Amino acid sequence: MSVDRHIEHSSPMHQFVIGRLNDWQLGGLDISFSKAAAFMFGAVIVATLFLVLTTSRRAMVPGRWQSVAELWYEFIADMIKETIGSEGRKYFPFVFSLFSFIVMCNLLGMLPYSYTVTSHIAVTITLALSVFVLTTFIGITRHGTQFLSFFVPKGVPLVMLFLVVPIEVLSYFMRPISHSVRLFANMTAGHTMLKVFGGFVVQMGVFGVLPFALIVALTGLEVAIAVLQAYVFTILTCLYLNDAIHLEH
Amino acid sequence: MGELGGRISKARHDAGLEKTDAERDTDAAVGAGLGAAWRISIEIVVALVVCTAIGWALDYWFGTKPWLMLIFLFLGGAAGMNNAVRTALRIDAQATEALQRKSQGDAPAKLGEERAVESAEDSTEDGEGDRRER
Repeated sequence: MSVDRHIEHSSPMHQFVIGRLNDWQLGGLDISFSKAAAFMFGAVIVATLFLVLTTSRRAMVPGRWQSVAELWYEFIADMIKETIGSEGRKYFPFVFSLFSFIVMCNLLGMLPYSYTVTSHIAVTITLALSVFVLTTFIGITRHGTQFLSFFVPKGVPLVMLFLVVPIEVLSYFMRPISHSVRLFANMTAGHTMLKVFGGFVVQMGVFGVLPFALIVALTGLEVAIAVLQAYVFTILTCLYLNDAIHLEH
Repeated sequence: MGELGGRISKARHDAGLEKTDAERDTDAAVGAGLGAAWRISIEIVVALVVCTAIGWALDYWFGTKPWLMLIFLFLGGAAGMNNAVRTALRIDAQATEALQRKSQGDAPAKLGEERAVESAEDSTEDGEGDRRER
């Protein structure tokens, strides 16, 4: 038993197990508060507290912390302006919340003994599908039936349309999947790799110094990837919003 | 004083504490390149795998093994390429735009102007946009 548990805990995939913190049942549904839910709440609380506290003074000349908050704001504001233009300003709250949530989930996941919410496809596909539904909704409400012209590229001979339109439609529906898999795969792969090298440190005895040095470097890389992937997710959201607003490829 | 500042900055740079503008640009370019690589590479894989799976499922449903899977394999490849090429073109366009903006120079002054004009446009356009309070 104890051996089994030891093996289970040293498995690189064990860190992704969604633990239940309590056991609640509602009409046959399992609504227990899970580790994943706790970390999602954590990410929201940390991001909110950070932004509220750093901007509470609203100084004309920003201090260090306020500068960080303003950088954060401007990063997203500039991204929206560059990819969508001034029409995108309406969607700033959505994009900003999305970025803050993902970047916080990713970074909280880098803390030792913590849990990475974004390493679960269920979480990332929910985020990606909400973006997909929103952009499709915006496209349809703004352009009506004109929205369908999105799937018909200009200047294509009529015969080719029978082949091109299905490809365009498929491409469109592949978006939420690639959008979510990218984030999920990166986070899962990175954390698994860290854990595998961590196992090497223990197994190799004195020579464990080598994988240990590698882990130090990899941890730095993982922090960079945590931010980079949040950025990639957000900029793709902006691009999809731009498609829906301007109906162009 | 200026000379001393220059010497301090040079010493910091030699000690690896500070980066020149050019080096910072390279770092940024590497980051942007990584982002671009991730954006493009996944598109092809996901479209191919998912479309083939859809084809396989439809075959299973209609009992037409293996034809729909084959058709969807090629459609998936095309859709993946379509998405990848489109993303690449867009990144290219953005990079070109950024380069042009840079080569025009005097960025800070221009940026300020642009912002002022845009916010003026915006206030006439939509009322609920995010307004900054300073």
